[in-house]
Amino acid sequence: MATQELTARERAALRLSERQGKPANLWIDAWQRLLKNRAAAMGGLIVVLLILTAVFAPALAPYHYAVGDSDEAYTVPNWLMRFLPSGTAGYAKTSDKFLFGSDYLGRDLLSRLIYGTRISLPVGFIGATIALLMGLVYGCIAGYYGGRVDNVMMRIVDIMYAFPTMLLIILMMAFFKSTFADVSPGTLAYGFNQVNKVVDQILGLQGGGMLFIFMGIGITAWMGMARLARGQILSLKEKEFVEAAHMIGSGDIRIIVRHILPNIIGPCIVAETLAIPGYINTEVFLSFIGLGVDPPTPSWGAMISDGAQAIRSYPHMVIFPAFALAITMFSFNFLGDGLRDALDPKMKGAS
Amino acid sequence: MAEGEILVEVKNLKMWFPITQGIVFQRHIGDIKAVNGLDFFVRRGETLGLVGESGCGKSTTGRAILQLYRPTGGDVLFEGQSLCTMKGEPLRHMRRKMQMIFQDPYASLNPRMTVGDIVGEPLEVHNLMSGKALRDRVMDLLEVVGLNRYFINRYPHEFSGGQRQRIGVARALAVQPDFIVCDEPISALDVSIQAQIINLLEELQKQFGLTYLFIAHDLSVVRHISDRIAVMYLGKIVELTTRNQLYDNPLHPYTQALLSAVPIPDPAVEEKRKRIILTGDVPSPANPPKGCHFHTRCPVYIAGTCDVEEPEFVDIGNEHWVACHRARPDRTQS
Repeated sequence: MATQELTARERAALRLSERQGKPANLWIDAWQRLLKNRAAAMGGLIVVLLILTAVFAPALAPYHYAVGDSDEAYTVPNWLMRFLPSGTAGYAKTSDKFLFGSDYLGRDLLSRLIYGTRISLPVGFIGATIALLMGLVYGCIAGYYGGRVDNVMMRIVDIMYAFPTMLLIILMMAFFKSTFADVSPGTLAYGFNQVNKVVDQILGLQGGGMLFIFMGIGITAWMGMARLARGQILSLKEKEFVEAAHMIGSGDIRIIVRHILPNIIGPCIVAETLAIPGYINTEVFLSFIGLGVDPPTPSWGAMISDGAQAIRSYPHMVIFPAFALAITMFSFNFLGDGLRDALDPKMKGAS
Repeated sequence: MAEGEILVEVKNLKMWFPITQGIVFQRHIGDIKAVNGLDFFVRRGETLGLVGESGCGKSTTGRAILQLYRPTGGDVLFEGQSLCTMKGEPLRHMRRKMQMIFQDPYASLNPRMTVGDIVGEPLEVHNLMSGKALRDRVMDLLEVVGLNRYFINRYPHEFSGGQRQRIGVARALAVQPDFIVCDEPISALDVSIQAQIINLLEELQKQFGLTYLFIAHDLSVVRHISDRIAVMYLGKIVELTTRNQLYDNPLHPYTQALLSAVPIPDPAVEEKRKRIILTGDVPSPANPPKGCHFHTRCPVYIAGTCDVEEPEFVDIGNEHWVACHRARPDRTQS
């Protein structure tokens, strides 16, 4: 029989391919493609370094981030003087004590930058996680069940989208700050405050108000994700393999978890990686206008805001946090781009 | 194959898809009558071929029988049990007895699952097996469909179209069904592979006593594999009879036109072959013509009868069902 002959030939081919050790897994393939992309690998490396910095901040920071000597305020590091306008030498104190100089209270800028990763990275990652979880669940339900459910759920998203995001966050932050500040035990606001304290403690900060930033970003960030997930599911649920799963007798949850999610999680992670700079940016902006974390928490945004007031005389106070912010955002963007290319099976074989 | 127990019976099956208008408030403005009243049955152990041109409702019929779409009207009886009124757990349980082989082997396998997971999923879903027993059964299934048992850890993208279709067949066989709907299982494959899959399906039928509803638009393939053949046009079956009857004595003008389009691999005969070329397009299934659905394109239609009265789908003797005014001896004189 022709079938048997082919099987014999297939066996030979199989033995051959087995010996060559072909990588079988799509994720391994994607990982190898990611490593080949230099910008993405570099971005990933910097992200890992930033995470390590945040984790080991107490060991890395030479001084305490919130304690300074006002005698040492506005010191410029000697090595930087060469790049500043020549007039600076006339009034600026120079010192080698602080590698990146000190701020208006004499606090070490380097230590504050290092601790600043404990604001920016959690904001980025937790913002992305909240958006991913909420958006995926919401989008999955809307897209999978379709019809009227989908119609109602997506109109809600449309209405949410119609609000100017930044304005919404600003209003919410103002609301949180006034409502949840200094309340008596037993109320809901007190509960929020306790949770907030725990969050700040985990991050090793003295009074930051990070919980409210997470809430503000989380409430606005999931809508894009929900739309993306819904769109992906709409196209996927008509595929024959989903129909085959129905045919087999799989339940809805099993179909969503086993068949649909693994196929859409790639684009969703990419979208969130690319959105992380946006979340970091939002926090920076909020801190810049004074609605973000509370002082003396060293948010990069707050540092830029402080430095902006003395930008003509002491530009170093703006340059370093802005530089740190730029590097972080570039890294996430490159990593996200790389992930997108790596997870796209059409890019297979292309360098 | 004339006598035998009836496994699947389809009674006046209707599958209409609503057409709606509006974004927020959707108004129902009509229906696509994809399947519009089918009556037929499939005997245990036979292969019923279902042919017709694109968009005539063949695939919809297959899916509606298996309750992948819930039919708008009519009923499907499987071993005498009504499927259309079944829901939830009982229906899920019935899925062990009927399966489907899909048209596109590239779309019907989840690219993120290994072959072992794909073929083993039905067993897992129905809590039939787990662990080592499941793996062994999957390996056996792979061997049954002519694949190497060690392909179990591979992903679908590592296989060719023919091999993928074999995986699809293995998945359908996993729960040991009685009835399999083959939805154009070979139309997406290379011609050289088509014969292999057809032979595989035939062998499996002999081995496991399977019953097939074989949907296709390739008449020569259907002739090869089917015991009886149904011809569909615009959501209705126009003719249903045994294979030899249909090819030797087609009664419906649409069947005659279809058969006249099949080339004959003999130059002498081919030379003399007269083609009946239908003019015009298939009418929209949202608004099918009055009377006989085929009368707008029929070369021999009777004015005053065919465009007014819908022909009944009747057995004119010898297991030959046909829906045509011309074919009924009591009408031909008129």
